[in-house]
Amino acid sequence: MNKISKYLSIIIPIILLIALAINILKYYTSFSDNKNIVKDSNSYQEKININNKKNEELVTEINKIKTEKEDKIWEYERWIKWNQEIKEKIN
Amino acid sequence: MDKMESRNKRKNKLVNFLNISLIILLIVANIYFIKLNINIDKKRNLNINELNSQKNNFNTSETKTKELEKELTHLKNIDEEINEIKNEYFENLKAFEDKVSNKEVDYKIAYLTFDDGPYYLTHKYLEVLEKYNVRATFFTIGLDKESCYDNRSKSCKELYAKTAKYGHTMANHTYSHQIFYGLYSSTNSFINNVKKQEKLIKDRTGITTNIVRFPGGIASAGSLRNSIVKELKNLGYGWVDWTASNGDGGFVASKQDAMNNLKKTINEDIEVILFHDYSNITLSILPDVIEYLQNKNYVLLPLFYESKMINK
Repeated sequence: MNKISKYLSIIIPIILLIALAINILKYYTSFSDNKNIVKDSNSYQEKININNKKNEELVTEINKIKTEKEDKIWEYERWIKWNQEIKEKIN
Repeated sequence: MDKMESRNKRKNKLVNFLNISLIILLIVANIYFIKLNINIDKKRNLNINELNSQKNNFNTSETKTKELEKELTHLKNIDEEINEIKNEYFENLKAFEDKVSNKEVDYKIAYLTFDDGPYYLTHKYLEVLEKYNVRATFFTIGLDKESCYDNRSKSCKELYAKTAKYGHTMANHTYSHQIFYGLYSSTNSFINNVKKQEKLIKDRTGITTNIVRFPGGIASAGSLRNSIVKELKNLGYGWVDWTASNGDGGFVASKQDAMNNLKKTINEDIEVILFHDYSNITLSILPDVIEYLQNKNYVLLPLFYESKMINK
């Protein structure tokens, strides 16, 4: 019994120490990984903000041109329609 | 000996105590770090979901940007795109005409043509054609068109542009149409009239026309016919008479007569029908004409240079 007790009193702390080391390593790995994920996330958010701003500007410009070229857009859509009608008759 | 034993016993007790304390400490530390790991894994999973969501949002915004840029380019280049689609349309018209001509399809073609305008009635003609989604060909002249022969309506100037805008073919019927006042006095007289009208159409619509109809038909040119046709060819013009009409170039007693005249002349798979947009009678029967032709499987189309009906 004494030998078993002595053996256990050495092995158990060693196992617990190894487990602790693994847990600490895992924690710091996860912490670092999480930090990178947050960094990536912020980076994407910045890109989304830039794109959204760009898209707003594009929409403004498009609406402006649509007002200026209303007649031309109307004309274009009519020719598309007539072209489609004749293509259907050919096929 | 007793003292030694007692010292050893105290030493063992201390070692045991320290050992147990260490084990407890390590257990507590492990539990602490396990809890930390569980929390950080939860946070990490949330952040991964957030990141994936943002990647999707980013892709969506990128796609949206591309669509908007494409739309902007289309709008900026819309004039060129209109020309491209028009070219494609007329290529398809040619293909369709060939199929009709070869009886490969059940359809027939009627080219509605309106001569001598624009007139104050031309506004109404355009309304009817628009209502029925029909495009036609207008053989226009230029003389006395400031007031459309009356002062009741707006100037005829805007009608050239309006007719072109609605997708009708703008064609040349000479500037003066003065059959009995010098138009056919010489080849030059005729050709100068054609050129003058061509310039007028170009100025008012931006369109360069290349189809001409002889006022009174080619027979009116008499002995000048061949030399005029040769000059027209040099100018890049094709010419066309007509194969059917309702007689509105002369006296027509009633709508019924006009309709009957037309029906008698409609026989072929491809017809070029002559009307005049000064005629109230023709205007009043135009819906009936359109419906009659469509019920007989005629597709109503505008003339184009490559059509087999245009003599080149």
